[in-house]
Amino acid sequence: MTPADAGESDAVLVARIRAGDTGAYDTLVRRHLRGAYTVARRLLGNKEDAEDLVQDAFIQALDRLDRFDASRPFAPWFYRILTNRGLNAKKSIRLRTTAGLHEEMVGGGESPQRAAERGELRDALREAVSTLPERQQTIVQLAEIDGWTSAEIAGALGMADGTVRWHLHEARKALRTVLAPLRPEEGR
Amino acid sequence: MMEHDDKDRDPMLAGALREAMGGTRLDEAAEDALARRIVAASAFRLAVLRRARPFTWWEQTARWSRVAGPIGVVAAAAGIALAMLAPTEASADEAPLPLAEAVVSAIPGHDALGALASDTIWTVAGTAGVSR
Repeated sequence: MTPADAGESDAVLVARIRAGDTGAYDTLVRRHLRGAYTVARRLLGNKEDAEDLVQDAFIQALDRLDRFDASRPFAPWFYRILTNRGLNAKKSIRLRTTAGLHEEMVGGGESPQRAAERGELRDALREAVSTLPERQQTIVQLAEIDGWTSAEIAGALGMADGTVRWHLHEARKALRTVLAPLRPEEGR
Repeated sequence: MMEHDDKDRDPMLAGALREAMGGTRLDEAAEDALARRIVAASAFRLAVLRRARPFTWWEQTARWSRVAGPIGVVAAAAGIALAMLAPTEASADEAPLPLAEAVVSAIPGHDALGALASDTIWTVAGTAGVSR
């Protein structure tokens, strides 16, 4: 990627992509890849499905580029494609029970009792998250784990900022209720 | 605007969620590989877009110039050749060449024949009623 490419707006890149410019497409993909992957991972829960979803969304966006209004920002339009396809994929994908397991969770050196407690917390939280509406699951993870602001989530999911905040509030309330019995561990 | 906002973040909830649900960061190599995979999977579609797009005015000009250049050169050469082969037209202030003079000048090497031949011809021409 050249510095000139890095400085070009999404609108300019989209115009070049409409003429079949591979370099512009590459730049646009890389610019939005990280955010797209984060949303996809939060929607689907595992790396492989998230990568497939991101690829699928970018290709879908390319197919629909003639319908994109270039006077509007690209990101919300693209994330709407990603989210809609992600929610559809979620219905058809049987998520593996190990989905979301992270390396940091398999840390060694802790006592069996501590490991059991951590396991209990994980299971309780996963269970609690899975009972939330799908949008709330995604929103609370993007906000709490990935550190996205409500405005960023609103842009990515094509929702109003106020709606995102309301979902976030509801999700936090539900998860805190589940966590409450486990709160004594908080002081450690 | 609703009262709860991003400041409502709960560090304990965030930590527990992170542990339960896992992180989402792709390392640079994985990110690069995914980007390459996406671009490669889109190559055919981009090629279709390249073929389908209308030509811009400068591309049209460039395409025509490839043909127009040689045609112009050939046309110019042909024009010069025609100009050289065509008989010279008399200029407007020049009197039309009298017939007798035209006949004399049409004889090859008439200058070399000298005045004798020329006068003889004029004499013959004079008897025919043709004046100088």
